[in-house]
Amino acid sequence: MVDAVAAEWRKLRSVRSTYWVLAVTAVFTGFVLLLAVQMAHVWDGLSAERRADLLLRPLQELGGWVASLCLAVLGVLFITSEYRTGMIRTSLTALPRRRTLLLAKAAVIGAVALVAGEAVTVGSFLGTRAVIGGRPFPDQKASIAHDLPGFLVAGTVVPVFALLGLSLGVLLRSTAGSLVSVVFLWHVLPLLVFQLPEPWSERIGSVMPGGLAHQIAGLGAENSIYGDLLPSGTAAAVLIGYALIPLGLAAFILVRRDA
Amino acid sequence: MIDAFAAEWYKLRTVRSTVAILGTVAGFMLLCLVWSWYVARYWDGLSAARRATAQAAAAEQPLAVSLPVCAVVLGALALTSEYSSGMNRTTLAALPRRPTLFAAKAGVAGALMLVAALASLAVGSGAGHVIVGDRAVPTFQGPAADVAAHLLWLGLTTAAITLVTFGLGAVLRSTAGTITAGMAILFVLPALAQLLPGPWDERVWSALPGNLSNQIAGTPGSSGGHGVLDPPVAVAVLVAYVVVALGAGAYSFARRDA
Repeated sequence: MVDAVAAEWRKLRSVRSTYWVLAVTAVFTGFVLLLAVQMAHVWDGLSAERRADLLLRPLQELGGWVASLCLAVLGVLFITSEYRTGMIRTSLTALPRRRTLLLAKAAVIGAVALVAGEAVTVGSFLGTRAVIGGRPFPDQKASIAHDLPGFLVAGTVVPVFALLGLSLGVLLRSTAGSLVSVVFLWHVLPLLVFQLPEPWSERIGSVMPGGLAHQIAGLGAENSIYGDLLPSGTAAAVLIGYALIPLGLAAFILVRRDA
Repeated sequence: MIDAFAAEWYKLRTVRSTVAILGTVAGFMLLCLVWSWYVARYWDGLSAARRATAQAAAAEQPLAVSLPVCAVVLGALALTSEYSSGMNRTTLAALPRRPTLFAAKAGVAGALMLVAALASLAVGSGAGHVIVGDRAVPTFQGPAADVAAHLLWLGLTTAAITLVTFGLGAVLRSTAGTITAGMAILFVLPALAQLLPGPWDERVWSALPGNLSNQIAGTPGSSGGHGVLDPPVAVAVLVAYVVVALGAGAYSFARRDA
């Protein structure tokens, strides 16, 4: 197992797409900080009552949302690129225990995505806080220690999307098909659900993967397309389900299908 | 030239991904019918007072959300799938005139998405209006000419997005990169634009390709908030996207190795 993880780590490290994805994620986080600088300027020019409507939180959460997409793309490519190049046959010859192979891939991509996700969400939070300095934005009055756990939870959504991408890649074996499916779950489906009439938009919106972090942290769903009906334990279980159920299905299919 | 079009059409209609994309479009067309049926039932259950203020998305809403995504995928795969399989070398050996080949591929992909979009929108919206009947849901009771203009421009923007992604695919030559970039243009950039300081948030948001259709011919019966561009300006922006993307794509396709 350790060898399998080492092999997958080496594969991930040696392809160009990994660095592209991580670079886009990092650049985007930098862009979030630039926007925060801009918002601090806007804040300085506003009257007191308009300041009460200027929220920073949507900007702080944008980084994690984009990182989810980027790492999901990496998760998809981690397996579909092997199918496209035929590398999968070499991989399976070297390691015929297919469940171990998938588990090693999941461990590597999950760990990378977790680190990247936490770096982006916590980095966005601390970075934007540093940028705005002492300006009392209405949603930034709590202490850093109070708000930080919410962003730590938001970071865990990123590896869930990465594992979802990996599982879909195993199931569909096509880069384009898996990418579209991941994008569908990431934003298109929540958009469609948001268009449903009440109460279904809120009920289904509560179980969309992108909305779970808020519910785990006990935050509301104002100004978002998601719902907030789940207690935090249930939301955590649903989030873990999004990662593990497709992975189990992928393991089941991978063992039974030709390569 | 006609042979090139015939060859590209043959390729496009014989790959599985085209069937999958058209199947997805058909699936969302059926979703339009389910949606209309649901709106009709929802409307029947409302009191007269709530009907005065109630809003429901138009019949073609499921297609309006999914057609751009399908366009990105088809536009990207039309060229990048040849790079990943090596087919492009055979193609170029058979037809060494690269501008002709590029035009044939773009024309076939754009025309297919245009026809698919217009056909599915016409059926989905038409059947939706029949299902809802004479119930006074605002988004289902627009004048026929306005609805037709709205659907026509939805179809044309779908074709335009196909061509823009096709040009992008020629520059990037990677399926994953092109699809991700296309999705970022459709979904990430609008969210980013809304965070810009005013009045730039509205201006930039209005000029993004996914938001142009409603500024050219909006959904009849829906309340505003579609953007700040006048219809002729929005058409010009849409054309500019297509010209720039196809130009950049044609240039890099003609000048680079395969």
